Amino acid sequence: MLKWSVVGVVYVLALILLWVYSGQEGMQNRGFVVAGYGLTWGALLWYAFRLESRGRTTARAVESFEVAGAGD
Amino acid sequence: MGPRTTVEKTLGILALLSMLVGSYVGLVVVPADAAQGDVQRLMYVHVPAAWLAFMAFFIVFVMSVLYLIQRDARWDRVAASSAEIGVVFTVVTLLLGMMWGKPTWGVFWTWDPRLTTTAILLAIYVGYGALRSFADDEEKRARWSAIVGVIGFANVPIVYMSVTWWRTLHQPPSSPRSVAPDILWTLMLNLAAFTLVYAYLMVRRIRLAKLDGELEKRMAYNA
Repeated sequence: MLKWSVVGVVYVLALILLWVYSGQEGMQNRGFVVAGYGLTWGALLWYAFRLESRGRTTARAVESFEVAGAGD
Repeated sequence: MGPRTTVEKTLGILALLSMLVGSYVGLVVVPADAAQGDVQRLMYVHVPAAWLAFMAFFIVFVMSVLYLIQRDARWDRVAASSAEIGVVFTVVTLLLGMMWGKPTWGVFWTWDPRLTTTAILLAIYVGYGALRSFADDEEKRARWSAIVGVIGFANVPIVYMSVTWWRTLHQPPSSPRSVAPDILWTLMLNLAAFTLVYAYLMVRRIRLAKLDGELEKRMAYNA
């Protein structure tokens, strides 16, 4: 959970930094460029963290069967 | 899912670093395209995402064939993992295409052959995922998925060739000879970064698939 928050904050800061930098450089269509890179990073990071979250949930479910089995 | 192994950690760090370097080079180092300007920088993520989607679905095809021949659940797990990651890359490809399409074509979306066949590709593999969630029996699910994985792959060469076969807004495929060296090496750098990301996600997704299989077995045993 903490990792999610840290990565989320870094991600937003990086987008702001890119927005400011591209403005200073006079980048044409900067909104589309920033949105495109932001979407790419956002989607890949979201999926990587989603995998970890699904993994934790499934591992807990498997463990709960182990505990139930040990009690039988 | 358990702690990451040293190989997984190394792969993850390499993927992250290469993506950072690739994005930095694509956004800052390489000069803007003479004709399209800065918006062409989207190519450095759009094209690798599309290539990786194709590769992911090729892996699904190969693993599906292997499953149908050998009936080994390992091939099914790899195919299912690659299909899911392929869907993520296809969504990224389509969204990036829309971001690039608006300033260059004037629209986010048009029913152009390349865009339409890519949307169909996405629908096929979203359907592949839906099919897997409908089937309860492990063997049936793997067999049906493998059949869809083999037939569905037929659309990949159609997507690739669509810009050659039909009149389309989308530019035809580029070759190393038709691209400036700066653009080419930046593209290759980002392609390597996306490949590392794919490899990392695959390793983690296959681990999750194994865990899902374990859970299903235990649930069936306790039922």
